Amino acid sequence: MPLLDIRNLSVSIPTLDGDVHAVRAVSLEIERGEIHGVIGESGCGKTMTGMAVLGLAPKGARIVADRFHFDGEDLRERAAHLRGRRIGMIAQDPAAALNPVLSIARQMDDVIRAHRDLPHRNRRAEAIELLAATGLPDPERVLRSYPHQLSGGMQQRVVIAQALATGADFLIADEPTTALDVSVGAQVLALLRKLVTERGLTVLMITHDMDVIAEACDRATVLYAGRSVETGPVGAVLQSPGHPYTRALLAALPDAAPLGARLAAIEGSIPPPRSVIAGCAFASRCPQALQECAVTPPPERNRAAHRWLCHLPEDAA
Amino acid sequence: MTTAPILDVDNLVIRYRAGLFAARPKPAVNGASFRLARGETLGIVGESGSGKTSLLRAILRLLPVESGQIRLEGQDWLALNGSALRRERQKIGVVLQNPFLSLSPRLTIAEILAEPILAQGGCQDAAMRDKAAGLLSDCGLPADFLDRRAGELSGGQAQRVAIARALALEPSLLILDEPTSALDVSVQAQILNLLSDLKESRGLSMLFVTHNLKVVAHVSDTLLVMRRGDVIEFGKTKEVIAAPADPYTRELLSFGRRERLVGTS
Amino acid sequence: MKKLVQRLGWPGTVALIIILVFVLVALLAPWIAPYPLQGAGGPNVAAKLSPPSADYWLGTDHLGRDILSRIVYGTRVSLTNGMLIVAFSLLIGLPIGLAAGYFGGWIDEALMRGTDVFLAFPALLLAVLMAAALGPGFLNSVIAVAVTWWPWYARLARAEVLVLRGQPYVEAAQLSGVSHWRIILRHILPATGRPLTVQAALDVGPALLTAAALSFLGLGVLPPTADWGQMVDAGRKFFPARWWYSAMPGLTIFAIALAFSVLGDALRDRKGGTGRASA
Repeated sequence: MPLLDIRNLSVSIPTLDGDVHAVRAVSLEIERGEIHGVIGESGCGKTMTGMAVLGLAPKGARIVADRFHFDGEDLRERAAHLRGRRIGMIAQDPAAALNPVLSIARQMDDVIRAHRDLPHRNRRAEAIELLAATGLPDPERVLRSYPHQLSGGMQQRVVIAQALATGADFLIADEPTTALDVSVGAQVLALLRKLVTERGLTVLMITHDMDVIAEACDRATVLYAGRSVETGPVGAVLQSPGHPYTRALLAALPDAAPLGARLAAIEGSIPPPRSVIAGCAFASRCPQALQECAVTPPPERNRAAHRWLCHLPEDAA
Repeated sequence: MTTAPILDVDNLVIRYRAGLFAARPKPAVNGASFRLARGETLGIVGESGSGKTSLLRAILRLLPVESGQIRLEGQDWLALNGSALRRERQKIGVVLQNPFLSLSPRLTIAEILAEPILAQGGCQDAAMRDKAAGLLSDCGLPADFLDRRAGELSGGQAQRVAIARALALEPSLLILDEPTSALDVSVQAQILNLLSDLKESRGLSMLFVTHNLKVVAHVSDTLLVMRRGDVIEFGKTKEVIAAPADPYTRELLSFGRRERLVGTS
Repeated sequence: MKKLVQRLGWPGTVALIIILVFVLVALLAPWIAPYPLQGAGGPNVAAKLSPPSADYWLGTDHLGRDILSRIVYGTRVSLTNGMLIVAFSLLIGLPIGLAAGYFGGWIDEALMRGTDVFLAFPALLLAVLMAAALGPGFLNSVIAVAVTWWPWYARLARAEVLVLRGQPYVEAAQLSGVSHWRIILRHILPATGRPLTVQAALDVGPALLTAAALSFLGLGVLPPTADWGQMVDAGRKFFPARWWYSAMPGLTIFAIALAFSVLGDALRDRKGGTGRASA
């Protein structure tokens, strides 16, 4: 049984001008001990999916799903309870996630105290151990520091240590490297991989960056216009993508074309978030679209564990 | 090199002033020298703290220079001041990172495009509107965008408007500061294509500043990599990509290649 | 209406309606007041100091004038007073704040230190001193309060400009050679305009409160023109036996000041907090 099991999740937010369909039909199966990447462009619903799992969807949002379970518990009822206990969060900007006027020691201690009944001395030892586990050199000095005295990469490690301190075994990392330099981001991703192997963590990695998927993830799910359109092992998704959108996204990367050659841009734009989509959401932009694509929902195609939704026969992929 | 370079930077040092008694800080840019040939694109790559932004702001004359020289089309660029500088600045067009922040939310696109022309003494008339429409169409947008406001545009459309504005005064040098970093991958591809079209059709010279080596490698003829104020790599893009001299450059290039090298598993 | 409630919340909407009613009352005073002549100041000694009754809903004053009519006429004075004070303050404060924020450096220092001098005095005390020096009268009381009021606008405008000046679109305009004058006019002023007008609209309440305080001290509008502050003061001599004389105009002042304050909170919540706390 997958640790996180989501089938056909939709999140709609009522507004004065009609419902915004932030998430239309997302299915995600995340197994224990994997880093699962969720990739998509802005407006695809990736962040809202993460928020729904954390129980942080906006007030008044309608959450509907065939299945929305974390380790057998229904997230519609238990999300708020699981958050901060079993489900942790790593935000994009570590500087915003840390309080600038409190020392790291204080901020680590607050988290540890909230989750474990330990005397002060042991809490400090625990903090040092957790900071060391995130690869911070000289944790004692880090404890004495304030956030602004640390680099972005070090701050992100502190945030990860805090998530570990809660005892969470499932982390949602929303663009954890976007605010960091490439070389520092690579180190943070390596750290997450290490924690997955050593501590049996499971990570849901939300990103817009194919490089992050390639660098850090075991499996990936591609989101388009609030729907999961393709999922599978990273190697398969990146090297033999099934869905035309995934293919187009990969082809648009600068390193997909020879130096100086024109890039394969995707024409058109995503369907507006308030629209109702009958068939495949990508139909209007798809170079291979068939007549039925705009009308009927696409069937599932698959090659072993690699699955996608498309009207085109499997061998066309 | 047969023709004079459009931009010639020689041993440029930029240092932020510390307090009166503080030790002199390490320079933000430590003796950068490079040239940009006419009609070519130079990519400047660096992460935060590399000095690329300081370098860019010095060329835009937004930041004082400690020593060194900048020549733009042979002219001593650092010697210009006041209204002479304002007049000569039209030789440089600028595109900033976030298109929504760099376009005034209150003006229509027509007004935004007219602004630089009016500032240089042009007058508001029907010809101006035609010119604005022409700029938009060069940047791949239809003329009916003229009456919209920035808030109604998508990120890619807004960045096209920002590029059109930068071209309004027919600059000889276009400076792009992270022009695609705030955009989605599919939109980034459109903007990169547009830039290579413009380079072709207008013979533009470009200075493309970014943290993303892969993006800039794709569009530039020459590459300059900065780290902690030093220029650690400068050469023809193809040569730098094929054989990076510095391990740091190699690291930037290899990011995201793990799975592709390992193959399907 | 439904949208308004959604934007402002119930308290804000009610406050807005109350303020609009006051504005209407001010505009239509001669038609609304039960005794227009008394409202304008004509005595009616026969009925002096009568308690609230069917004839005189809120009672009469020591000259027998209907208090309701006096309050209705006083609305005109109070609202004009409040609006003029705010307008004068904007006129002085906005240019000073714009210049200080945009140019920075020694211009900023000089202008803002000058502003600080005015802020160093307790506002009401300064207004009283000014009014005493200028002598009582409608315009003088407006000027006296405006003198203590404008530094707030200068500071608010400066703070807004400091944020705007760092915006890429302002920098982009500078880089394309647009002159300072044009940048201020086209980019800075329209953007500072909105938060400042919101603030100014809300300040009408506290401003008319201060003006009422001045006329309570006998430094505002001269009789026989009706003025709430002055009425409270005049009624003081007959308090508490003829409580309605002071209480009715007092409650009116309270109601309008509260309405402005509640509306202010509603607007600030909606806008995400840029204004200062109103006095």
